[in-house]
Amino acid sequence: MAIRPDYLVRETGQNLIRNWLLSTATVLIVTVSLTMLGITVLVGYFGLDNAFVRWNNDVSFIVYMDSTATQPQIDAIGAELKASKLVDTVEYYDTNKTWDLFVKIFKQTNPEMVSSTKREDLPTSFRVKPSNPDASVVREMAASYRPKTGVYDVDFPAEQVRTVQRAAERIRLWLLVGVIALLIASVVLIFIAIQTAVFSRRREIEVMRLVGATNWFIRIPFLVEGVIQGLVGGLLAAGFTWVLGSAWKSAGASMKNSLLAQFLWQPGQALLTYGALIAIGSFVGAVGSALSVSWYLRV
Amino acid sequence: MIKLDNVSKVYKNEHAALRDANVDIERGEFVFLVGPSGSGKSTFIRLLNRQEFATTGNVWVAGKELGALKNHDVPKLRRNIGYIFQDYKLLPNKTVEENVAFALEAIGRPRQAIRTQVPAILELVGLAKKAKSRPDELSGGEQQRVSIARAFVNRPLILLADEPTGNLDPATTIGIMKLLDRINRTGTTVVMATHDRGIVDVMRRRVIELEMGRIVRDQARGVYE
Repeated sequence: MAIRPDYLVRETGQNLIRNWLLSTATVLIVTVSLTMLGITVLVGYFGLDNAFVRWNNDVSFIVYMDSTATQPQIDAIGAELKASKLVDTVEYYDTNKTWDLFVKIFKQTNPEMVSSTKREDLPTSFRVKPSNPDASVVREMAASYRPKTGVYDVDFPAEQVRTVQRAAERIRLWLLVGVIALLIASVVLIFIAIQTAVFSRRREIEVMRLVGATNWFIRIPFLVEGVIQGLVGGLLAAGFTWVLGSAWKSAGASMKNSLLAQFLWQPGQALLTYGALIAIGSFVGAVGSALSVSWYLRV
Repeated sequence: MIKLDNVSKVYKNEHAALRDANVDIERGEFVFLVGPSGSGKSTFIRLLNRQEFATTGNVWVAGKELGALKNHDVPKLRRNIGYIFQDYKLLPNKTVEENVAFALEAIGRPRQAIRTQVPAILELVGLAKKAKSRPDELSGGEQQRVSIARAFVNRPLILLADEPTGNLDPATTIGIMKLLDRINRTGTTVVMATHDRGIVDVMRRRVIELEMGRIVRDQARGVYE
């Protein structure tokens, strides 16, 4: 038995209008939970992955020489690095170059440290850019220089990257837990909204049952109501995610040196996220209303 | 048309609403169910459109044994059975014609069929001029006429009425009974539960009397007692 579109629109519309307060609350909670999910996906997944790819491509390590290292020891390390097939470029920072860099970094922020430090206290170093940007290969290669004579330490920035990544992974895990809890709350709220709609229309439902309406004919307007609530929540969440994402990008553009400013995403990834939010919203609405009608509308 | 074969209905609280009922109702009959409150009249009616299941025995309606009827076949059965409530159960936010049309919409009838059937049935029940009125603008008798129109608009084989005149004054009751009689004359089987001694005695149709769930009398052209 086909359901007429005008009947479906009218009945679903009446349901939504009669329960407008509960419908609004349902849409809002779906919106909040999906906006959280959208931001988590954009910043925590796409943003972090893109940033990590960028850091990996730019990965390098610094071999700091001991201040007591002799010139032959320094030359030996330099020659070894230049001869290595795993090294793309190597640049030696002698005392003067290191001092210039030190002054440039700390002159504004910590002039006392600059005035109390002597030029010869600073270690000379080799800035190495490996030919293979794979972080594990770079880490292994960097570690192989640590025990060499004359070497004070090897600094591997990818370690910090990994620390940031681990912290970000923990944050996004907790965010996901929160999102899942909110999505479950959304399903429950849609369940209750449909239950209320069924209760407020119990007289119509009784009449429909007795005149011979099929289960699905009675159920479909309620199912559509739940899907619409989820869909509207998903659309609003996509909109809010776009607004918040744009704000994040604008903020990042104004603080170029910040680590977080590198958590950016591609337009295609954003579109994928918006589409997924709308689909998840509709799915949540369908699940909540399907559970409710199968529970409360047994004919 | 309707056959009850050793039918008993025992509710969960172990109250036996109907005991060993054996009844045959032919097509086109008009049957009154009489008896005091709690005697099993409403249960009898509810068994006929499978709002209730018989605990034991078999209920046959329009050639179907309801105990064996699959759930998805129940709507088809109910399209052959009109149901009239004591309290009308009209939808307050819909007009008279919308209330009647709703019964056709709910079974997926096309719009064109609804446009022709609804005015015709409102003409039959004498409410053509009140098609645009809402239920709260109608008298009790008019509301019951709408309820009858809704039950009969799909031209069912059987019309079940559970105390349809219970809320009406005697003058209005006569009008409703005339209408049900008219519907019965079209060949529709009418089964009506009632407490109204006057109409049973005046109409002199078949009377099935129930007491404590048992059929104590089944009389053609009977009176109330």
